[in-house]
Amino acid sequence: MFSRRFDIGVKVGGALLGAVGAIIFAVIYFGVRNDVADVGYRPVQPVPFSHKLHAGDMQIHCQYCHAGVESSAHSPVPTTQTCMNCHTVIKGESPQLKLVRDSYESGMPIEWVRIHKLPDYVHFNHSRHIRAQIDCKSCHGPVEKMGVISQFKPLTMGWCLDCHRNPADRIIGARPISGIFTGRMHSMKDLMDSNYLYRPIATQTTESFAITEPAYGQWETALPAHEVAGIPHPKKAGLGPETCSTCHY
Amino acid sequence: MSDRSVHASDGSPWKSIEQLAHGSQDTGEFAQEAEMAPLHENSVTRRSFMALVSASMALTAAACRRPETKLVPTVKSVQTVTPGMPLEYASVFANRNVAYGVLVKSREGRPVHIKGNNLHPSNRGASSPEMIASLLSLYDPDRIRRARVNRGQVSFDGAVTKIAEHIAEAQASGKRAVVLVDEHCSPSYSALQTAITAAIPAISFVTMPAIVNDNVAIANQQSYGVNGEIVPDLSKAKVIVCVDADPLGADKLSLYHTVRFAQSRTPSKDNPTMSKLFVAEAQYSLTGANADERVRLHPSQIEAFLGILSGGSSAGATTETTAAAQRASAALKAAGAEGVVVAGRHLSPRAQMMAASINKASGSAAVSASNVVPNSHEKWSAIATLQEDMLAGNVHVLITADVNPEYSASREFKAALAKVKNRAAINLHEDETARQCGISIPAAHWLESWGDAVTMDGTLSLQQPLIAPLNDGIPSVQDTLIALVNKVSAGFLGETATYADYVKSRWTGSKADWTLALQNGVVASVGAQPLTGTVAAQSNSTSTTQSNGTGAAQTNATTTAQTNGAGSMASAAIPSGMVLMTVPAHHLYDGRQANNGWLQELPDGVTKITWDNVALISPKTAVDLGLAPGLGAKEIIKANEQIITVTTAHGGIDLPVYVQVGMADNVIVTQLGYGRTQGGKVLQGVGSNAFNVAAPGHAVQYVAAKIEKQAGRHKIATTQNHHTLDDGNGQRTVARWISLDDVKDGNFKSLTDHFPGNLQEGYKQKPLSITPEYTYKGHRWGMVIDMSSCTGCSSCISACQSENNIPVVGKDQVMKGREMHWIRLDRYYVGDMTNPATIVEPMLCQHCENAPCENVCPVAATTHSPEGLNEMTYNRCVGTRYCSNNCPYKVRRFNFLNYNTETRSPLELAFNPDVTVRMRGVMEKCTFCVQRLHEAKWKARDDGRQRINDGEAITACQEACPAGAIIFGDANDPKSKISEAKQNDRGFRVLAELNVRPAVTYLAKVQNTASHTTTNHS
Repeated sequence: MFSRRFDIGVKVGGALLGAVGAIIFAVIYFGVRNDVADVGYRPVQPVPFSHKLHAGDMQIHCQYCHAGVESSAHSPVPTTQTCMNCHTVIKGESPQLKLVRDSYESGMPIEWVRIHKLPDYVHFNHSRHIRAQIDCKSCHGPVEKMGVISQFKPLTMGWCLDCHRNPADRIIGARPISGIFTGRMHSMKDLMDSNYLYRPIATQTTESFAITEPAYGQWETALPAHEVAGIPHPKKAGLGPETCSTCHY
Repeated sequence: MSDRSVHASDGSPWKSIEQLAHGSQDTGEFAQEAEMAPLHENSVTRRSFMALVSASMALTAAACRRPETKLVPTVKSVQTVTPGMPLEYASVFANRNVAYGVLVKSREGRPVHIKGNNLHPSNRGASSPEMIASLLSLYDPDRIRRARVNRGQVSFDGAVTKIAEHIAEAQASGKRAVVLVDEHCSPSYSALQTAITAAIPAISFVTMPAIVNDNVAIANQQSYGVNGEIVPDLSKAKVIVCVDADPLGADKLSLYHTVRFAQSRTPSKDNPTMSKLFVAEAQYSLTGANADERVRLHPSQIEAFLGILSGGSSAGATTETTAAAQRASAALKAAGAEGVVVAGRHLSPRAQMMAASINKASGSAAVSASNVVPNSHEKWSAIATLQEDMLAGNVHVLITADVNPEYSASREFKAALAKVKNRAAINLHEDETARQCGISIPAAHWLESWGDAVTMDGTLSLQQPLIAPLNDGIPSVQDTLIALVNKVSAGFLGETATYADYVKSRWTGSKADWTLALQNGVVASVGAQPLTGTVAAQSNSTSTTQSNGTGAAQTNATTTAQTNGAGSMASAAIPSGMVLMTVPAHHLYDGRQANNGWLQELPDGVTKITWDNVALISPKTAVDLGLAPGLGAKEIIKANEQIITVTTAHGGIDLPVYVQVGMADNVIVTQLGYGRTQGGKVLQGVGSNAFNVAAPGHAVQYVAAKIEKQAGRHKIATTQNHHTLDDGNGQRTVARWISLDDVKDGNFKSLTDHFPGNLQEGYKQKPLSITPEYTYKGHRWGMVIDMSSCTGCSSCISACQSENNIPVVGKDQVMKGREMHWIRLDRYYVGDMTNPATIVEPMLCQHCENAPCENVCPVAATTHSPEGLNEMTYNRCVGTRYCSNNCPYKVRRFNFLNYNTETRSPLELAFNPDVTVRMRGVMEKCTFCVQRLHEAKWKARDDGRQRINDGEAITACQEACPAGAIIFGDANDPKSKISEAKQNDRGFRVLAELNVRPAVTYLAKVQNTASHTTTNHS
């Protein structure tokens, strides 16, 4: 009924159409998947700030800059003033800090590029996780090793649920890792001590800090928090019910 | 479609005349669906569709990552502010001369929600719509941003200098420089006015509110020797007789009154007592809607009614008036000191003095001559003098500070205004008056300014700014006045003096006390000091005001010598024919906040009309005027939306007719506050200006009117037939009420008559279910709404709107039934059309256990939580609207358009950051304020508790309710308030026979009448 040429044409055309379709599907599918698209997002920041230097080498607490994370849903980005607390005396002339100094003088804020962003219809609360003694690194990765900060986890709903359903396998737990603050609450007494936040973590004495740090790369399989620090299992500790309105409202 | 007027008289509730005419039909969203209303106003053409499809495909391919966003921290750390953590500050919301304490929630330094301050004696933690909605006025994009002289924008300083020159000229020429101000209750403002007048005698202050109402002060001066407005405390009365007064409705004091009135409205079997509210009135006010016994009274009968009430003769009274007055009089006599007569403050001084004499004779406990709102009987004479001076050319410069006479004043006053050469306006908006002024200066909102206010009982509260003025450096009215006087007289308060300094300088207490007073919002809480003790400067120039709180300094120096004329004591001649009655609008009041979408879209408490003022007439009047062919329901509704011209001695306006049942015949009622023409985009084209036909100064509210029918119709956006519950054409009762006698006798059977025979025992018995039951192991959230104490004030709707980011949709969308309020107040009438009683039934998501919406959602966007919440997940919703169709309570709202994302900047700053801003195409509904539940839960966890204690989680509607009619809590906690309330004998669940098992229990309304079957409404 049809010519041979037509038959070939249909076959080749069909194959081409299928291939193009597959490519379009792949581009869209992987394009919109946050775990593919967002993990490793590492934009250029206006100030070449190194977490590796500050959190890693200098062992400055996360909460020294991200103050308020233990009480607020947000993890606040430090004000220019926080930078200048140290940088009036340290590296006061550094050309890399010019923008910070200018901001402090002019009163115009620094516009950092946002890396971790959840959609508007998701309500994530940092303080609940910090107070449950979840390490910052569980979600943000080995920040103390990042010269330029990047997104480490996909922050998808599936990723949230994986952890909530099986926290023991995934949470690093309440122990110090490379000087990163681990979720332990500062006591009022600590905070009254003006040197507290400047002191290397190694010299602070809390039982949760006595645990040996696992090597980088092994932290996913390390002992879960609740088992080492005597904290009840997250489910028992009052993990919110796994229901839509826990996050969506 | 049976004619329901048959059972309109059998005691079953009905919603509207339309319902009587056509049966239980929804004219809103669901009727629109039958007509397949398009989603878009502009239809999409094939070309635009293709363009959109290709563009969106291109975007999808390019969308490998979301767009870059910025994080912008502050430069300096602010000690108390943690991003994401709310702070609450106490302040005071002065609704003109009535002060209410507020707590303002601030997020990252911007106010996002206003609620009542528990410590404040006037509102005791409750809110009013005006208070809540004033937040939106703060972020109003139509506010003036720059000062203006003639047509050119100038700096603030430039404008002030210009006015100062005019004042200096006035000084030199011996003419007057007048500042026109609104009534207020601020002792510091009073003192400032006195100080300014002392420094520059040429300047005088004239108080001219939109609704002047000297009558109440005249009457109180005569009866009690108090030059102010004495406020009765309704909680101290067992029998309340309101004569053409609307204390629960369109009144500055309605919040104060509702808090107190509701206290005695919840009888139980053990304590079957409640107050009895008699209402005699011409309009159908919200107070009338709450009446136990209501009589329709033509305005010309008011004084006759009061005459009989005070034991006088019944001369001039109709038999109906006489009978009603005698019943009320008997009840008052029986109550003795526990009775009170409340006369409308607009009534003639004679009428109000008659009411006062009854209260005096009975020694009414509700009336105390020391509970006074600042007011003055000399306002009108000062205004009249000013008018003469303006006409004679004696006023060199006129400054209107936060008042709008070009909108609200009489024709004669406006003509006089035109004679003043130099005029300046200080206001939030470029309103009608500012447009006529050569100089216009923007003013700060009350949330941006310092101040103080005194409450009726003398409690002083401080007003502190929550935010720096949004429009750079714009000071408050008082700051502008200080700057102005500083320019004229250099030694006044000093070059850099501000009103904040002035208020603080008047403080004689310690600094610690000041801080404590700021924190609490109430000075009395510092230690029961009298008003004069703490803010000492109150006493210096205002010694005459001590007896009545404050405020006498508001009166003009040139008129204080004048006494109130004896002529004003004569009874107002109210014509007996067709009378126009102009009343303040329920939510807009005098139209000051007319540019506020929240208030415009808030349905009137009785008529449920939004975005309009109308001519309300009784059914019989509609027939008499030839607007309706007959008195049948189907004939009556033909009168609606016809346009009539109402002409009085003062002018004429066109109004659409709306038939309101229960009104007196030969009366037309219309609302003030509409028909603004300048001052923003929201108020454009909304209603007609009833000030144009009202008596000047609003001293007399009734004027003879002529009616002329016009061709054409004007669409009215009323929500009363939207979202109608299916009552099976009257076969099932949705809103239930019982009489006080039923409560006394323990006869609650009528509340459960919807169950089939074997379940007559009561709703508490569960019908069988074929699906597994939910077990609520932790919390089980529930609500109890007491319809007996609910007055229909609508605070809950406003509070919900502010808390949950509910959009304003506009009149066109409301007419399509697309209003978005998550909670609505269904208003049902009981009885015939002549004078029915009213039941108000707040309706919100019932969070059903067997929720019909959950079953039908194809994408599981609405689900059941382990704590009994019916959850709505916006990001899952694809907009099928099955859930809404299947909801028996019709409480789901669909975003037909992008109502919220198309707001004009900076209105988005009013959003609550804890609640998602919904977009087009998703369903939404009440969440029981789940964000507040989370907050309470977090707090409990921090305290080491697994459960939220009773009273820690409070919904926005519950928080705002002045009547305490809403109880929310954990029904699983046997000791909680809600568990107790759910056991109340008056409890019933709406449409319980459907076995959807709602989490909301309603407590039936109790009418203080003898029996169930007759309503006693004449």
